[in-house]
Amino acid sequence: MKKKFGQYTIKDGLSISFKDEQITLENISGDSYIYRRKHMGKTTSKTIFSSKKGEIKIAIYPVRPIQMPRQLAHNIMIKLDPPVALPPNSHIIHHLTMPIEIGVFTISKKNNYMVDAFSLSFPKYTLYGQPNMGYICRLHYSSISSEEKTMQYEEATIMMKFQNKSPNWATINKIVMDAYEVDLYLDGDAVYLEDSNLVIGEDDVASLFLNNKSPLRGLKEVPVAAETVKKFRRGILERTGFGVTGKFIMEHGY
Amino acid sequence: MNWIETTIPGLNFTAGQLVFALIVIVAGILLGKLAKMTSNKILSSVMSENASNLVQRIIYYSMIIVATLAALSYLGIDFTGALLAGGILGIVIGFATQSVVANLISGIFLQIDKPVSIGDPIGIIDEHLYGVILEINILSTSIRTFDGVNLRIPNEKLFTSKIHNYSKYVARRVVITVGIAYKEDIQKAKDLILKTLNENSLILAEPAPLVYVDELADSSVNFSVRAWAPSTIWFTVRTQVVQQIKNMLDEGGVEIPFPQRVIWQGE
Repeated sequence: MKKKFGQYTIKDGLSISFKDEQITLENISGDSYIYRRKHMGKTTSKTIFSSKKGEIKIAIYPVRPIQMPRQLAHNIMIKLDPPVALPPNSHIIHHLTMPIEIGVFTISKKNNYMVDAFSLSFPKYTLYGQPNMGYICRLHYSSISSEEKTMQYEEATIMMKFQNKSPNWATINKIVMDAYEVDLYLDGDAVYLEDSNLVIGEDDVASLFLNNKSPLRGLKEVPVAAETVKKFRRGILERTGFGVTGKFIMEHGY
Repeated sequence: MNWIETTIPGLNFTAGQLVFALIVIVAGILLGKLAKMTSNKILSSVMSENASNLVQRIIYYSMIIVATLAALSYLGIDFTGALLAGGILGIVIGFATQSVVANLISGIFLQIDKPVSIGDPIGIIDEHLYGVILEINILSTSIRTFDGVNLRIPNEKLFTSKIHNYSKYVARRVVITVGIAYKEDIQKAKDLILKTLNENSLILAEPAPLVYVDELADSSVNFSVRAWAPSTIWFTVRTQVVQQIKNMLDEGGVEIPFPQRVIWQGE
């Protein structure tokens, strides 16, 4: 199957499909193009931009699942089905999945701009913690497996190392992470979360570490800078702040 | 004779005493500036710029006044008459500016206590006023009401009122009452309502939505529908979900009855 994530030269009649979503470009006059995204034949997104002398390109890449249906939360909760029970002082690596969205960018030498983002899966939200001090999270259910099992263009693979340093058994029902800290890696159209591990400390508190490196050899980080995504949502969503970069303490339980 | 010990003609103090008094006043000014700078660092993090500036000025001028009074007292100047006049003037000013001072103090406490912040949607329950906080000044607070009117409310009134802050917490509950006809299957209706809630991506999965029979009313079996939504979009969800439940019940063939009364006619 032809790879869909990547960069495209802007031209009249460009058309790319992801399940029921169809992206098209149409030249309306001179250097001006109209971008359309159709869902089940109905146009759901429309943007006009211009590209003088082909100086910009269109790029389509997976992005963190924080744009759709609106920018409500920057946290992801992955509910494990079934839960993982870890004996004291043990560790194990499992494959999980996390949701992704698809971002459409215009890219140039100077900067990038997110034209659109969409999700092929049904987004659902949940609360982690209490209403007075919790976090709204994008909810995702994931099964545990020893091999990769993802829905293409909807999910990314997480190769999570679970580590229990506590003297007690630990049952992990959910994993919560700050999507702003998440980096995605690509192998063709297969998407992976950066190297990550969940540690149950001696105090029975779970901490998630995102290690800012590829989970496997030979993967490439999604090339459109994360900054583009941040610019897209800046001013709309305020960070509530999870503290230390790359580390999330699951203070409301696991 | 040393010039320091020379008595200034017409006055009861020496040149040395005068110089010392001037030093005390200058020291008071310098200390006032130092206190102003220090308080700026401390207060800027806990209150707005306006309130912080006001408190800094009060500290600065208080220190200058205290230093000046101390210096004049050292020179032997009698303040009894001035204090009496000042006291009477203070009482008069106090009465005249009672509400201003009350608003000022409330404004400072609003900055410290922070029951509301700029941008918060709030309701002042006793006054039946609802809107978004635009600006909190030292004497009054500006609110844009939901019908688009700018409202200025004195800080004392705001501070002493019962305030609902609708954005203080991340999630807020939507509560709806839905009535179905007595002839309908309660479990079926309940399942349809729950399906509607689960299919709305903006309704939170946890805390889980709750649907239960709340009342056997005159014309209908009433469900209480309780679901949580992110506070920022509570109103959107509230408006969506009522229509969605109605549509789902219609599609499922569940009747929402009109008020009805059974009339028995005697023979």
